[in-house]
Amino acid sequence: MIKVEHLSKVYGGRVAVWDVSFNLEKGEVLGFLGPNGAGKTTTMRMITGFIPPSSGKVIVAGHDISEEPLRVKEEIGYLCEAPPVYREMSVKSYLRFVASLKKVPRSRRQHCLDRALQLCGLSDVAGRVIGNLSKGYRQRVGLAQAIIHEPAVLILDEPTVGLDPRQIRDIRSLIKELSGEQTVILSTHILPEVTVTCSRVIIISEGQVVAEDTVQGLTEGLSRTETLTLRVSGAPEGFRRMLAALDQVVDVAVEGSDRFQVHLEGGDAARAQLAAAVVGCGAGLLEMARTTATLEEVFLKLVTEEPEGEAA
Amino acid sequence: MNGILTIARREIQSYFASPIAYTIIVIVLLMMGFGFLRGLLPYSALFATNAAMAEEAGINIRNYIVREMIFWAQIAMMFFMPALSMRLFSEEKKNGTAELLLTSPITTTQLVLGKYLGAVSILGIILALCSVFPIVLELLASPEWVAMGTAYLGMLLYGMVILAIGLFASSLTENQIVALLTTYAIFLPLWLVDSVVGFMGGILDEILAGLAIGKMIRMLGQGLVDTHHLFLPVFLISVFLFLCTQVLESNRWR
Repeated sequence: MIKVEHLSKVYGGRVAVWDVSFNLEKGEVLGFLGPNGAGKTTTMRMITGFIPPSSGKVIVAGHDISEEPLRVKEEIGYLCEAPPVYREMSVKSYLRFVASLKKVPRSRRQHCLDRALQLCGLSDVAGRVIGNLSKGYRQRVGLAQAIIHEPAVLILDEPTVGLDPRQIRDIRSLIKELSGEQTVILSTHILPEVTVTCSRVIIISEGQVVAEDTVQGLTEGLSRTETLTLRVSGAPEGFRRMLAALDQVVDVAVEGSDRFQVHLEGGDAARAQLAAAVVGCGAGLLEMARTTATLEEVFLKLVTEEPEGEAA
Repeated sequence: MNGILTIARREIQSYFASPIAYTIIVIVLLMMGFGFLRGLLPYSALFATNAAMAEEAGINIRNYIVREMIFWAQIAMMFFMPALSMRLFSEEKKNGTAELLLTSPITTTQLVLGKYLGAVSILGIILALCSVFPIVLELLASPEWVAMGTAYLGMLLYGMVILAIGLFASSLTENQIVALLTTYAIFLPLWLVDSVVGFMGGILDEILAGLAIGKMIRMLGQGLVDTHHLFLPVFLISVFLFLCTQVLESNRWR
């Protein structure tokens, strides 16, 4: 659906984006993750045709953006960082304007308008002037604007920034609802967002892709050993030694009278064995929690890494 | 074409969503009405006292009332048309809505023409409203309708030139005040050049005469239609609209 090849953008002498390539199938949700100023917005702007790339290619739904920009733009719904709304217009007339701007045929406009209002939860404020709406609502109007023409590709630049937790949850569930039919690229610097909504992640730092994988692969690949916190009742004598003797256990640390930190490798099977061993020796297993590297740790590790450490 | 109309329609809506359009329409009408009265009152006084002498002196509606009205229309439009055009692109840039327009399936040319059409519509409304002046004249005397028509054509073209310059200036900056001042800076010389024509001599004089927009509107006001006077505004409008599309395109490359 989206094919990005060796995309670069150089402003004067400053490199904003360097050699970014990826491929996105229909229905995938790609999380574009990176610290502020990493080049997320620039990359998205190049995909939407707002700015031309210095070099490289963007192909959306089979059309090259530099050759058929209008065809590509018809396929894309784009929500930029600040929702592009006219404050003096009402929600309804604004969305009507966008629909006609995006070449929605006149006969379908009312249907598209109703659908966008309903999906974004705007039906109650449809008649109100956008400038008088709260920030959360304005963001939703921005989202409605992006989806009104039922584009094949949805590009969202930090869609949940500045919203309260409930609104964030609503927007995430909306994105999930849309994925499947629509291909979504979503940029963010909020990590849980990616874990919740995205099927794939690209981590970008200083204009370059430093990692690309599924969310699961990324967290697991970077932490082959996992750490479990065990809480047991009535641990018998030599419990620690017994655990350490298990095949997959690398190390056991005692944290308190009933708390243990167990490092082990081997994934699900190893965890099942550990649990069986604990129960088998007569202790009560109260708690067994995994503390894998979260995406946050992976992210920090990747974006703060020295260039020569990239091989890891 | 649809893209152009979509942009233009929204533009007109937004003019009337704020007091801008109303204020500008009222001010320009006031100034033109003032010019009309400034011509009409002495004219009617003259004819009331001695109609025969006035006619013998060649005083008529065209060279007395219309001339005065056209002069004030020039002043009014010169100062207030730029206020109409200054927001066209500056505001879009500032609010981030330029990003919506430039990622939508319309060409830059359609965008520029749409914006321009929106602003020209307001000018059209102003001119339509001030058609009451010739109607008043018709009740009192018999104006020459052809000359009146060319006078209105002159005012329309004159206003359109200012709006084209204003649109171009607005594409240069996201600051509306800067756009306003830039428009003045470009248009004032074009208007003032009229008064220095004939003193330079040679080719320079001809170039200046060719650019004198003030003369264009004066001539049309007198019912004198010359291809050059029609060509000049059309030329200026095309140049500035073209420059405007170029600025928008090159902004993306930076």
